[in-house]
Amino acid sequence: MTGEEQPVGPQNDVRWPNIVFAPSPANRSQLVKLFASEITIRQRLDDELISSICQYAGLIHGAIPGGYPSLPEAFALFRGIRRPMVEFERDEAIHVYVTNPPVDFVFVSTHQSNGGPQRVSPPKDSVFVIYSDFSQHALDGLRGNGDIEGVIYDWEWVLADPGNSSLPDGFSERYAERIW
Amino acid sequence: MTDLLDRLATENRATRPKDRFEPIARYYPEMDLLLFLNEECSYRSDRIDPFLTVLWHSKDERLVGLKLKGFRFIFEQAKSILELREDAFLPLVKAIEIALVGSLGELMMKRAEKDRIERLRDRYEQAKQLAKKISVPPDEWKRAA
Repeated sequence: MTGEEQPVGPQNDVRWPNIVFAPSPANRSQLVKLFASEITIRQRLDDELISSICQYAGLIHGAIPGGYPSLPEAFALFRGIRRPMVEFERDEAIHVYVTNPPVDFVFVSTHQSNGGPQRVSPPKDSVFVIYSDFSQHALDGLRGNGDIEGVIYDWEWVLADPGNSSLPDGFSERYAERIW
Repeated sequence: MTDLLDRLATENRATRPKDRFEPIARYYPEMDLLLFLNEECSYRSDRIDPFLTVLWHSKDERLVGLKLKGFRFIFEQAKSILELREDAFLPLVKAIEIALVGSLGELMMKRAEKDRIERLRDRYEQAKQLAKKISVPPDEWKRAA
C-alpha cells in the first residue's frame, strides 16, 4: 500500500506500549495522552485474540512497521453509550472515537519467527472505533501517570451507517451526543 | 518478532500470543460485556439491539461471534427476582461463558444470521414495492443508455 498520508503530531513510543495520543474532547486540534487499560490488553493476550492486539498495535499505537495510528485523524467523537445501564455515570462517561483508517492489521505467523502484525485492506463498509473513558473513576485506577487524561478500554471495527459511511451504523441512537 | 507485541506482553503481565486460538467466551468487566468468539480473525460488529451485537468476519459474509452487553444490568435485574447474592455474579458469568462455548453461542449466531436474512428480504421487498411506484420519464432512459 502506498500513497496514504500518515497522521502527524507526537509519536507514540514503543518504550511505552500502553500510552497513545488522541485529540482532546475539549479541543480536537490538541492531542492528549491516553492509557490503554492493562486489564484489556492482558485479557486479549491471554485469550489469544491476536487480531485485536494487532489492531491496537497497528491502528492505535502504530509503532510497528507500516503502523497507522488513526486517533490523531479521528473523524468524530461521541459521548455516552446508550444501552441498559446500572452505573449511569460509567456509560455516560464513555467516549467513542470514530476513525476511518485505510488499512487493517492481522497476525501472520512465519516459520522463522514468532510472527507479527501485517497490513491488509480494511473491512468494507466499516469504521474503526476506540472506546475511552475520561472520568475521574477511570483515572483513579492508574498508577503514577499524572498527565494521562483518559483510559482506552476497547476498540473494534463496526458497520458503517448506510447514510454516512464515515460514522457507525445507527450513530444517532447508539450515542448520547456528538462532541465534535 | 515485533518489539511492540513483546513490550505489550511484558508491560501488561501477559504472555505473547502464539497463534493457538480456541473458541472463547469471556466477560470484560470494564465494558460490561460478554464476548463469544469461535474464530480468531478481524471482525465487524453489527449492533442488533442494546443487548446483542453480532460479529461478522471482516472479509466473508459469515458470523464469527457475538457480544452480550449490559451484563451487570441483567444480573442486577435478576438479583431481586431470583434473590441472588452478589457473590453469584461471577459463577453466573462463568456458567454462561461455558454455555456459549458449548453450543449456545453457535445457536445464537445461527438465529442472528437467519434474522438478518429475513431483515434483508424485508428490505428488498420494500425496495421492490417502492420501485413499482416510480415512473422514469423516457428521456431519462435515453440518458442512462
